[in-house]
Amino acid sequence: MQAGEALDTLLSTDYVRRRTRQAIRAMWLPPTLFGALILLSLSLVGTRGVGPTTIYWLIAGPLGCLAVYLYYRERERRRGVGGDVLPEVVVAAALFVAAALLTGAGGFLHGPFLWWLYSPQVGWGLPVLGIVTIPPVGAPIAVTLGYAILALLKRSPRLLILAITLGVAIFAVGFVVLTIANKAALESVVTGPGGAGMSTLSHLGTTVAFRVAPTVAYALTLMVTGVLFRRSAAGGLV
Amino acid sequence: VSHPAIDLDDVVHQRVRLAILAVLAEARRADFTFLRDTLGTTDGNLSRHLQVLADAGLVEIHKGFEGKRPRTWVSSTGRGRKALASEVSTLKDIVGRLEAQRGSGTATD
Repeated sequence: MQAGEALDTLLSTDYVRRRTRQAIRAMWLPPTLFGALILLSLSLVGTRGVGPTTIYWLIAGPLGCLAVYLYYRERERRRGVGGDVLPEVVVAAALFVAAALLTGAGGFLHGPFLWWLYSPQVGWGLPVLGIVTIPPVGAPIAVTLGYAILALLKRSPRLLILAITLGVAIFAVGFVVLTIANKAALESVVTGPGGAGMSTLSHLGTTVAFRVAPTVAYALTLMVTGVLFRRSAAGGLV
Repeated sequence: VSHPAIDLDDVVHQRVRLAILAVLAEARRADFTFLRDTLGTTDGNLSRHLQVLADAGLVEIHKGFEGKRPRTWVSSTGRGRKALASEVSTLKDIVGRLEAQRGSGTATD
């Protein structure tokens, strides 16, 4: 066999494999779906305690993962080719964990109480006190880990870069927003009119609003990512 | 030292059959139509090559119905994936040998 022929065969084999991977990939659903679920969960802001949010995520999370699984199975039937669904379900589960950390246990519903445990001097996301730092730090880590595992399973360096970028972006948005919120709230405690009682009441709402802001940013980031995946030809962006 | 081309498996080395194994290495399964369109073959040609691969135990063919329409799904076996890996490795050896010969200024092949 001629070496040129061997090289030609290798290249055409590689081309067929890449084309098949592109036909299989469609990663838009998990980020879009969980971004929407997170936005929907914001309707629970103002409800008392974490009960409604916990119940919401106990139902929405597994249902979201199931929807992702069923979508990819149906897509396989429709297109005549399908890959292992496990990577997509891993990402959906990671996004579920991230969403639950950010909006559920220790999330914005705890905001008015947990705000006092943050300090602008220490900075957002540093290990001030266990559970306090889990939501803001845990969510970006969960997203990054989910996509990193997907990148590994799908052998996509570009997806790995995206995973890290997404994690850093979510962390940075949360860091900036919460630092501003803490600073503003502290200043109003010190200088605000109406005494300590009024002041505390006035920035309880502010604190909740600022706690919701990173969650909204997080959800929108996921949805934009999903739209980008969708618009890229056959999901071949990554 | 024998030339690495001796290690090539005739069943796998044929271009269409190699491409079928390459598709199935990436996919959990693929149907007949997807394979035909991706590889640009005819129905008869693809059927013959699939049968050769199935007889060698390199792929599994599942024939069934979806509604009233017949549908054939094909998936790779463990032996199929190993055969593809071995073929690709041998081809890389051949190419590597050429590059080494070029590097040392010897005639190729």
